Amino acid sequence: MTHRLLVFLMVLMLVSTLASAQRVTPIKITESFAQQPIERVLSSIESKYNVRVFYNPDWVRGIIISEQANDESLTDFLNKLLGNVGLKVEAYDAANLVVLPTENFNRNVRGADDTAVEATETVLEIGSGTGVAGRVATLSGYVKDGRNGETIIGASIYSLENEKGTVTNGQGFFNLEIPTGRQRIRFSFIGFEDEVREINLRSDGAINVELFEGVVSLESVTVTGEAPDENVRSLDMGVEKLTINTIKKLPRLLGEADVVKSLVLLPGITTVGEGAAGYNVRGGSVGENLILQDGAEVFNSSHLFGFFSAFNPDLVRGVSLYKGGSVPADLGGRLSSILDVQLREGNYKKIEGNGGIGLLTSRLALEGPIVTDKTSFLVGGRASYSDWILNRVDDVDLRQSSASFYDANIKISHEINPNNKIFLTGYSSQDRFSLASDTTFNYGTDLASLKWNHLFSPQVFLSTTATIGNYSYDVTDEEGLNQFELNSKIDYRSLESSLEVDILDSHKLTMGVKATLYENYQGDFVPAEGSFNLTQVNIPKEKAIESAAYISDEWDVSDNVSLSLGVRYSDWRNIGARDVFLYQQGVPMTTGSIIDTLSFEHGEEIQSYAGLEPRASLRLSMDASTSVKVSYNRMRQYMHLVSNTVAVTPIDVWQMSNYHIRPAVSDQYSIGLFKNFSDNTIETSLEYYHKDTRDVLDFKGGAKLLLNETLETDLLQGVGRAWGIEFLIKKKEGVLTGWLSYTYSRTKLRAISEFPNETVNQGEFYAANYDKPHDLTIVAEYRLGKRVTLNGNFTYSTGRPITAPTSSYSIGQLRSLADYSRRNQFRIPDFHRLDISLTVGRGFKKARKYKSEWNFAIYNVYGRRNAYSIFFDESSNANKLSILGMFPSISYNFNF
Amino acid sequence: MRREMNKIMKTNRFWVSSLVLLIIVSSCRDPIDLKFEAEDPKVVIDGFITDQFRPQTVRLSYSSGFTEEGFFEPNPIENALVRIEDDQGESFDLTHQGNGLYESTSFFAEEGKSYRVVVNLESEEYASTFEQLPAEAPQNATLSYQAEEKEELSGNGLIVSDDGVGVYANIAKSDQTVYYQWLIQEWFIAEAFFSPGIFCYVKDFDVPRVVVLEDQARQEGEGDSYDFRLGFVPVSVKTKRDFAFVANQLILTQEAFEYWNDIKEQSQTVGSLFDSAPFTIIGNVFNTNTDEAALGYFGVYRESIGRTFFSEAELPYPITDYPCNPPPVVPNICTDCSLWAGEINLGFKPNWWR
Repeated sequence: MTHRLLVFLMVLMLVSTLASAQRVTPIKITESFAQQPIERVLSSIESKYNVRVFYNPDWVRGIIISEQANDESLTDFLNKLLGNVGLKVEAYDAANLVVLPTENFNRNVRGADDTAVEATETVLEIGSGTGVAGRVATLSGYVKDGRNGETIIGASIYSLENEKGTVTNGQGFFNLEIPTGRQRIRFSFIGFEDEVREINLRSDGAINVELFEGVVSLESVTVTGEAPDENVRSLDMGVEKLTINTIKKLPRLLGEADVVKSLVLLPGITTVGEGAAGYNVRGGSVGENLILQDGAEVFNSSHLFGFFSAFNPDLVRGVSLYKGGSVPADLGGRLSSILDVQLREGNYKKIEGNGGIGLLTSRLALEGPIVTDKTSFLVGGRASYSDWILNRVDDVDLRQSSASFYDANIKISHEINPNNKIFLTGYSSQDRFSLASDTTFNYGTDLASLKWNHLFSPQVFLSTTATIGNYSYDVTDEEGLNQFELNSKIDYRSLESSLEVDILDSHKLTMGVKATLYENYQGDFVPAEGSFNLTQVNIPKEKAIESAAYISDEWDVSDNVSLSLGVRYSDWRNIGARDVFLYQQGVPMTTGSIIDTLSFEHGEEIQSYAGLEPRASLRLSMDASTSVKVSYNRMRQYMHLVSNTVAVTPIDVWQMSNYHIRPAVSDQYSIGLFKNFSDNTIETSLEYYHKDTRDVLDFKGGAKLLLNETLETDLLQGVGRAWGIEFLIKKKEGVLTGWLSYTYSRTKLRAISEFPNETVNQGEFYAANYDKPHDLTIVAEYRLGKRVTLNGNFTYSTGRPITAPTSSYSIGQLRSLADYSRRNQFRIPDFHRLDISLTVGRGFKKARKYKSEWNFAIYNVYGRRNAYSIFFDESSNANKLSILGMFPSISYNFNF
Repeated sequence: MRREMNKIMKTNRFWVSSLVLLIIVSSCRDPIDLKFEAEDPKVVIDGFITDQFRPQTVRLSYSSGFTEEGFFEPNPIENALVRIEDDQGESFDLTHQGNGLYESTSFFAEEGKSYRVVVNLESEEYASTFEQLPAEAPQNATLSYQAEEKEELSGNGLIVSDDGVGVYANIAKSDQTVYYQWLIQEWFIAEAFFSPGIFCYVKDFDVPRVVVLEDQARQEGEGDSYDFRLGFVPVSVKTKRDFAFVANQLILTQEAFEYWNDIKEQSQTVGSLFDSAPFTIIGNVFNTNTDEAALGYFGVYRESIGRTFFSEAELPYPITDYPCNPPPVVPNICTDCSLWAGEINLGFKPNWWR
């Protein structure tokens, strides 16, 4: 394109110096063009009449026209054609024509300022009839990336005259109800130039738009992936959305952009410590987060104990985290949050690749068309090579240790026809680490899904997904006296169908059904032959079907009021074959109090649970930049993660709701105030939430969770109470951008047994493991130049609660035994850390083929040794375990 | 499994240069000045009565804070009034024997009665819940031993093996779940190298351990009984002559077992990331005024005593003598067997000895 532009400019100079004195024999044409982009019209004329038309493609991009010529001169026709857009054509000679702007043309509109609104364009007639004033019609269509044909999720579509808007759904499809008549529609998406189309909407109709990346990508990156005032205007609350661009701008640990670690910088989301797997959302445990990658459930979101997340940043399009405040009814299954990671589609137009090289990992992704504009592929992989560092360390144990992981993705997208699209995705990841060479841990995820999107009509959209997946781990010891192998696995298969219906004025209905079959193998422990003093343990398989049906409606009651109402009905059936132990009433549940065993046949129902999950949210707009939102959400969770260690480990146990274990239920109420300042360039929000949970799994003192055949005897089901205030201020434009978030929150649990000795902390509410009241994050990006950015983030949070020995005593034949405090009575020291990074890019010009960047990062700049865990030695002296001191890293990322 | 995990986590003390990372392994441990000490010491009531006619004892102490070095200092309670009450109004006073040990020889636990301990200490009163003898069960302790090698992973990663003796209790299978605890004493005969023929009978210091077993109803496996390993005695000069492994076999109630099992688990925690969270172990003793839990447990158990003896002659391992140089001027264990350290050192043979 640069090439074309240069030629154009040269020609333009020639034209102006030579003046347009020459007379040319006019070419007469007879043509009819209906609803075609100007570019296509011009190129067909070029080839048909053997002329060259020089023009700046930015001036005409995306403009659709309808025009006829009946034995007219070519220049007259082109002037008629282009006159609507404020352009004219001059003939340089018989074969060369130059398109020039007239005084009506606003040349600043395109390419330079992507927030400006373009005024002059061809009016596009949509629909038929006369478009009676006051009637409402539906405008629908796809928004795609003009560079590769990939659909854009979350692009915003906004009628400037009618002040109504919507965003594209997960398939890049939108549906907007607006009054008929002439109006300008703005299509926008982060990192892309805005596109404004003037339309005359007569009746329901479609428009497909391609957006193009900004001329210099860096300049157009803003912090949000939404319309400038999306936060105020949408019904969303308690939702965090990050595009991969934002994620990539944050300082990186170990040189790699990371989805999960970016989320932790947002209000209401914390982890128990650096390097801990998983995250906590609004007072929920790690196991209360549902993680979806392109709709498929992922049970472990981390590699290497949380230092890397399971998602390859080069393949991610964006992430949405629903913090339980207003979760759409089509999502459910966990109490606290739903993390939806969407992967990109492969490029439909040309082969592309990108990747990165870091100190510990490298990545490579390739994508391109299989059939241009029809079928595309995207494959990507990551692998770590951390062992070389371990081998250099002067420590025998470490030299014998190893830790590594890989993951690989594939996604094939195929457009059968404009109304049918299918996606095939696959994912496989594997982690392996061994310590002091004798015990090896392996864990991995495998997923495959097939998705079919079908458009019955612009208003009726069906999406069907079939998924299979599993999460498994094994621990093996192949040396020494006690050799063994421990295997555990969760398998699932699911089918979901969801229908979006947009036929009623100002209502958007979503409904669907989903069913998942889970099979849980908690563990098989097999001692090797000749092992000393080890016994085989096989925990029998557990099986269940979770199914759900949902319906929700987004209703724009008036311009200032919108309401979202939804309900999800979920059902859980624990089925055989399995033996269930019955315990004696009136005494504590132990293996010794088993009085009977019930045997269930294959497929026989053991226990079922079901319930409604109502969801509602309401938005009231105070003025154009202020709104108040309130919401209520109920969530039910049937699969529980049980952990009594400091951090969640990859070998923690998942426990199904069954004969003895009930599903957990949470109710969250939230209210938020959203206000934007300075023309939507500064966003603020203040949200308050209160969450009550019941039947959350807690554990008795001294519980053994791994390989426990009667796990129910070690568990209690308690209640939780969490509340918090989240404050966020975001600056979205300028040389300095970023955000500050502060959360004050409390999370308390209570677990009562009918036997006082099993009751935790005498039945009083106690602080959860992840209760960290103060949580402050500052994220800043300072643009030093077009290609150089400096990023920094600072986090501070209250220390995590711990249980500590307070004294010691002698008992029985033990001379001294620590007497521990009540559960989580004390806290470890506060956590704070500053990270900075510098990114230097090369070749960010739109046209340059090979782009690359260097990233230099320092994690924990002032080297604070934050306590990851406090533990106590034999004499009860406190010791601090810190994971990382100051850690510099460098990485190189490229794109071709 | 737990042992494996612990082993995994016992790496440490180093600091990988600038390229650090590896997680758990490369992390660093520093002592940290954090004090979580309780403001007031807690009362510990530790004792049980049995169905045998023998001294019934309860030991009272205060829990202690930690010294600078982290050593535990015993803190006995010597000014309390202690009595055992049954549910039929009878009460037996225990008298202080020194060092916080209170004792009575005038009664034993009877079938069908419930007992509790009541402690009056200054203005406070502590008591246990009422406890009863557990259901009758096959209870006569029979011990056996066998020579075996115990292999262990030493600190430097090498496997070392110790020659020794494994001692086993024979457990008769039962139709109901039986909870066992064994209080183990180890006795040996000391003989001074330069005073041969003079023997002392020494009770060794207790190995700090809790030995409990939940014998599940209708235990699987062949036969009517099985062996449960109580302990391992490495061969040494102590096993040259008769070595007595004495086990007071107690049959516990389920609650008592849970308590002692928790104590056992807690005593084995090493504080790794994979360890389960430590917790407060609550027994059955509490302050009657405030209802606040005290530490410890008061049990009512069935008791039987099992003993097994072995010596060099019965073992396949030859024992090297204790190295003694020519007799020095100062008396020591090479010249006088009564100087052997132990909890008890008798100059005569106990009447239960073989």
